Amino acid sequence: MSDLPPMTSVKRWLVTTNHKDVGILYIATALFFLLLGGVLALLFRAHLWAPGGTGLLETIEFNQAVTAHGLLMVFWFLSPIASGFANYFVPLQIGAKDLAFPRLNALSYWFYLFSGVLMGVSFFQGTTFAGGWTMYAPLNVPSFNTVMEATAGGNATVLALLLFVISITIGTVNFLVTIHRSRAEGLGLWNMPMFTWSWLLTVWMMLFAFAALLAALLLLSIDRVMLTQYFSTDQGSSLLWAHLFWFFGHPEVYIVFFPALGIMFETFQTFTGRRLVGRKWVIIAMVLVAVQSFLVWMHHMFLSAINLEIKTLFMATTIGISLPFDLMVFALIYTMVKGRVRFTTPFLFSLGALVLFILGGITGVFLGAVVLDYEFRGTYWVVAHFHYVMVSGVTALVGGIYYWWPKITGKMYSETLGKLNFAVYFIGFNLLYFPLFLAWETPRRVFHYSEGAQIYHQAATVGAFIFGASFLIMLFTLGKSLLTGPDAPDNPWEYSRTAEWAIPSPPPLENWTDRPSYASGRLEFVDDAAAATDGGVATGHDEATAVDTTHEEHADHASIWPFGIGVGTFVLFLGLSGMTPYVHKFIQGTEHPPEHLASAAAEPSITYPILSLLGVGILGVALFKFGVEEFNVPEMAVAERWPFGGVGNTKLGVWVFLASDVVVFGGAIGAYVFMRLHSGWGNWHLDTITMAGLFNTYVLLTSSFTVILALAFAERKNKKAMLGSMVATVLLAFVFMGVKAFEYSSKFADGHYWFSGIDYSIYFVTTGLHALHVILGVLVALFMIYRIISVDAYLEDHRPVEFFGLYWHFVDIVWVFLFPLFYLM
Amino acid sequence: MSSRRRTTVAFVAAALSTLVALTSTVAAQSPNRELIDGLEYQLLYAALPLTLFVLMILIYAAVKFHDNDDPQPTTEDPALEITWTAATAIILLFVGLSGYSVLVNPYISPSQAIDTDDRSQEGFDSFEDLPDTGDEEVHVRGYQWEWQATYPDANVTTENQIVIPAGEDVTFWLTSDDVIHSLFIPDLGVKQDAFPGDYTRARTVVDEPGRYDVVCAEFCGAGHSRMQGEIVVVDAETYDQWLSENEGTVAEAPNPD
Repeated sequence: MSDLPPMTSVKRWLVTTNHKDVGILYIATALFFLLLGGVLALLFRAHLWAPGGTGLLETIEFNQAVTAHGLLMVFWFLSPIASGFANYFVPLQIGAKDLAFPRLNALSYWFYLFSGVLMGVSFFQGTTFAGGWTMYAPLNVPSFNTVMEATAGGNATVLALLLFVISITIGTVNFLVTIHRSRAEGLGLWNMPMFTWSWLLTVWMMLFAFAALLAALLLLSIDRVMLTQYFSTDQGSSLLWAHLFWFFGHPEVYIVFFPALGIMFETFQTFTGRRLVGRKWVIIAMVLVAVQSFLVWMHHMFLSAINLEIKTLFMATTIGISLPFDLMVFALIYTMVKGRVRFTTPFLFSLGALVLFILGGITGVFLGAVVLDYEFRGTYWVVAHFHYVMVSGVTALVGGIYYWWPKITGKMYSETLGKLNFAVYFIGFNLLYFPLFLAWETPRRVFHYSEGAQIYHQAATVGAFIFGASFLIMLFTLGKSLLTGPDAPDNPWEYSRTAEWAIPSPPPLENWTDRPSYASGRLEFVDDAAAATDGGVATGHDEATAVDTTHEEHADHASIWPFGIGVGTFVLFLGLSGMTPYVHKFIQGTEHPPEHLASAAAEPSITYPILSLLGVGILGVALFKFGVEEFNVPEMAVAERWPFGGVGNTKLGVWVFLASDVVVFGGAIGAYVFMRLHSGWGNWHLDTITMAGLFNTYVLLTSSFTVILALAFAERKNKKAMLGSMVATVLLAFVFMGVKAFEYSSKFADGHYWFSGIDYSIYFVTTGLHALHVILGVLVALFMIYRIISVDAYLEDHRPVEFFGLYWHFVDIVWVFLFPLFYLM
Repeated sequence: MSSRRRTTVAFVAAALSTLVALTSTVAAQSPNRELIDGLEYQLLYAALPLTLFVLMILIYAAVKFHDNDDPQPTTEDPALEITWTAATAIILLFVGLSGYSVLVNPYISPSQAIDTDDRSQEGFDSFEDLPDTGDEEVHVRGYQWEWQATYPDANVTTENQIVIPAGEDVTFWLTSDDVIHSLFIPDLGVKQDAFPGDYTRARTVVDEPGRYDVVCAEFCGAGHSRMQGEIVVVDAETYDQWLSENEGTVAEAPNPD
């Protein structure tokens, strides 16, 4: 399937892998979740009208509303809408025809959409997660809620987040490979447009930060579905979650803010007609922030029992991180000086965003000075601070919608309505969030506040509705433009310099007719066909010319299988969300069920196992079809690829993915070390079979060797020997899994289960996570064996064997770390 | 510190606060609140003019160069960039130093159990295990959704009320039976998380007998909104008498007036 149906057909949107289509899907979906999160906010703001609540919401409904509002806005709105812009404009800005892996890009989107659908479904499975968006342990596990009877909704929320993070990880790999390997000729990193720069740094941060969250969410899902004990003990669970979550959580602040900053840079340049002042320093400052963002996470934990030295250290890193931002703010201000400032809607939103960010940033310095946390932490002051920061980001993103709207739709919007939108937005914003600073004595997520704070809460509620109305104005403005707006020229803003403005609005399917190049120092379109025929008249681009590096073969743009994989995963995760009662029942049937799991669980519902199996079925078919589908994505013949010129796209993708997987295992191993240290390194009562572990170590190392053999035989085009080596690898993996099964069953026979205590939880989950990697590897290997037998695969192009080898060696290396940790120490 | 000197300090602090910020609430009731307020205003004086200054430049630039007829291309001005970065660095250093000078105060950052002892956290199995602080100690236990205080010297227990003597250094040892809670006494500037299985310490001294609201500042489940209590400060004599009268019982707090 490769022909793309027209835009008006529903089928187009299900099969498309084109970056611009996927971008539109992201933006539209993100706006939907903005409305959903916004309505939830209006609900609880209305409830907060009077101290003690107006009775609009029950307590549990209030808790669900604030939790879901936070989760939806941070995860399902902020990053995805930026991701939509990046999908659409990063390839355009760097002169590429599409992302490096278009089908994976579609897969990211479907995972995102279905994770959001799962989040929505969770409301109807009893209750959705109601423990706050930070999901602090142990409130995030069933045993400390009355929800032991109804875990499904909370499980679905956590699994939805897990799926969302998987979507982010896939997108991250895709963008890193694309930006590093598909830049037009002459477009060095320093010259990349600022939005692309901000997105590049965003995805680098995402790669590591979201991997930490992935680890945390994996452990949490297993805690909730299988009833392990990572986050339910009183032996350090709370701190373990806080570390894992905030190691992700603080970079996340910059992850959601950087794309907004990129839009501010672009719009300031366009609407002042000037290049950004101190551009190089701004880029360096952003790189500094990206690195330093990983060194400030403990400032979210100042009121735990951390000691003075650590407090001081994190106070220093936190206050220090505002310095690069200060540089960026001044760069923006000085860009206006001596320019020709034009007050268009996108510029007003960007300017407004800068004003709000200055306020949010300075209040952040207050909080960074630790001492004030004794008053402000966990109160509305913090709520006000981070809304000023995050929603100033939203302000710039709304500016981005207006800025790029003519390019995406080919229609102009009404500037009058746009400016009205900005005015209402800005007034609503400040009326909503500023009083929250003054209401600082109200703790967060509380509706029983003192009488004195009522006036502030009422002002905020009024502001919330005005703020909400501004989004209706936005939708009206955009809708009107779509229906009756005049056609947009290529570059309606005149001084826009980036490449997306040099082509028609909206751009054609493959973006360029001629190859964009910056070789001369500015954007030019090179007609390679003409050049190849020695200056002769080009006679049409379909004609094959002598130089096949210039004329790329036909590229595919459509595949239904990303959608299929999305559906399968969704059904599977929905099924998993209701498995807790079965596990609970099993536990009650064992000899010594743990006390904290004594409370009753819901009646198991047969729907969930059926859904799980159905999901596995759909997923299996879709993955297989995805694997055998012919899908042609030509690599750019001429491109800037520093610093990854010597690595192929797929290989770089595998490396980047493995880098994030290192962090996932780092999280799991970190959890082991943290929990063991907390209970005293020597007090660990884990009883494992050392000989089995040692044997398995040899088995895995041998299998690494057989994979190397497979690659060597593939290079020599020796089909039989390659096949033999691959089969040997799979057999060794089966031996490994067999020994593992023996180990697990002998533990069970001794009465040691995954729920028996924190030490056994960690043993089963960590080795289980590794075993899962082995199983995934076996599935890939079996698929490859099938391809070798059926279509003589990998004889011409042996690279897939190499990529599989990389993954397999990684899995082995992980075991080399796990073996001493669990069997020797 | 003599009571007269303390009164003077409190008076000066109060006068200063009222003078410089109309938003100032009542005079600080504890050194914690006084120190925090002091720092807050110090930062506010630095931040307010700076914020206004930056915003004014911003608006001035936007308005002045709006539809400017004679736009100039960007030129680099490294001296200017270095100046503003250095200036901000100095301000941030000021913030850091003034923050640190308050942070080290023994009321703000009292030594925690693990700091004073070689044992790691798991070495503390109960309140009885904790190191002696020399303060009047109260053991506070948070659970869904109540505060329970015990007074180790007299084995008295109170619920949702914490009684402390006026004018004496008080240590609250905190723990939780289930999820994370956070003891927050806004008027006294005291806030400390209570963790399940761990023991954390907050410290203050209050001069004026009276009642001070306690709320939970860490989201702890369905009843979080209602997890409220009060600190009852009584003079030392009343406190001792109340303790001895109620030894071994669950008691109501005495009246502070």
